[in-house]
Amino acid sequence: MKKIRWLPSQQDSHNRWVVFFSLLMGVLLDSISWSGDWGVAIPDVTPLILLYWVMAIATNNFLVTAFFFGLLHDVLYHTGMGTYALIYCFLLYPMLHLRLQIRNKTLVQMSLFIGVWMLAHQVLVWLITPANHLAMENIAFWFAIPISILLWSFIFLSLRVLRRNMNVR
Amino acid sequence: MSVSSTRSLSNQDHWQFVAACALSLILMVTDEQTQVVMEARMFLSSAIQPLEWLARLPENWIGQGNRVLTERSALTSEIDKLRLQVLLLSQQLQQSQSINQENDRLRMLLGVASRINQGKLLVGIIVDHSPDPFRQIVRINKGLRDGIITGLPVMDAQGLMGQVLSVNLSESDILLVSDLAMQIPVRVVRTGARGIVQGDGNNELNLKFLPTTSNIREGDLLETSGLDGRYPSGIPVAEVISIKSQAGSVFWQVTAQPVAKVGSSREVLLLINQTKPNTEVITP
Repeated sequence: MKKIRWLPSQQDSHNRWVVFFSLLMGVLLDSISWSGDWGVAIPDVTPLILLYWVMAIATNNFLVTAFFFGLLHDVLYHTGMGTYALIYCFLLYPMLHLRLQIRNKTLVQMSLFIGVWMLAHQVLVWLITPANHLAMENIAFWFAIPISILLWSFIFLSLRVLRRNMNVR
Repeated sequence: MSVSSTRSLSNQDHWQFVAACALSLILMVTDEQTQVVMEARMFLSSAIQPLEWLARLPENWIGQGNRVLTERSALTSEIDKLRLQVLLLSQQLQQSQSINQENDRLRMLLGVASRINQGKLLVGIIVDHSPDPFRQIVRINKGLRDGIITGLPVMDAQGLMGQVLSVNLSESDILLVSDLAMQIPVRVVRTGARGIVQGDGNNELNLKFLPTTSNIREGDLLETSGLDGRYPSGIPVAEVISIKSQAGSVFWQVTAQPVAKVGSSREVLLLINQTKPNTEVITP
């Protein structure tokens, strides 16, 4: 008879802490205020980290995590509560469907897929958050997409090192 | 990327997604219409405050660094202004003393009108000295782009330092009065007797061509006579420290010490845009 596990195992708990702190680092990086018009071209790092963990740990859907860190971003960016939570959930859901295929791609192919996701992120941010309607006037806002494609390799490799060193499975 | 196990999406995942989206929408509407979620926002805001503080640290450090540098820069600028003021006042004092002495001796007819005030004054900082130990040459931080040309007279707060020997775009070499190659027409302030001082290459000057019939004594001040057109008249040059007579010579052997601190001054004053100096360069 298969034993049903109600409490998280030690490994699950360990995984959660590592994911949690890596996402906190993402929030920290997103908290840095970049001066100048081109500051909007710096992509959010938290959704990229979130997408990595969704691909890396296929046993978890991370929806609750995405929701929680979305709320943190709402506080951080002074958007209506639930705005970024909704955006992150929308981003995660298709990734949950496709993660098994995407994670077997090469790093370059993966970066391009991430570019599609970040395009969706920017469009959702542009559509949902009122302040970003000004984004149409500032082309730098859309530069976050190619920058996130470039950034993905660094994030992917860094988190892979972290995952292996911290024995996250 | 390797994982120990994989799985496809379950119903639970779908329901979690729907629930998260629904909750997000409810929160958005609630936050828009009411103040209910204000406390939750304040709580989360407090929770991420340390992160925001950490994120601001580099910017604060840079800001503080800039402020320190700005304050330091402002103080340095103020000091430079005060130093310039001291130099100008000293130079004016020297000039007025010289004029007073000339008036006292009623020798205005022989005096050459001072041209010091006709030019623009520029302060230079000594940045280097000649690697040749036998030359009395220093380098200052003003050059062609500051309007410096070869032959310009250079002073410090006490008196004549030398003249511009060579110029590049941003720096100039100054031939000091104590250099062997330096010759300056002077007159004795007290008597008006004229002569030429020449550097001895060792921080002292020799007064030449002063007849033994002239009245001179230790402590006499020598100033530029202005007769060569290179230096304005009335700039203190040296103070007589010893007088000797040489058998068979009709001239005194006079040794003088430069009044300018040729070995220790840091700032120098340059007279530019004055009457065009003689651009002939003295070579040893």
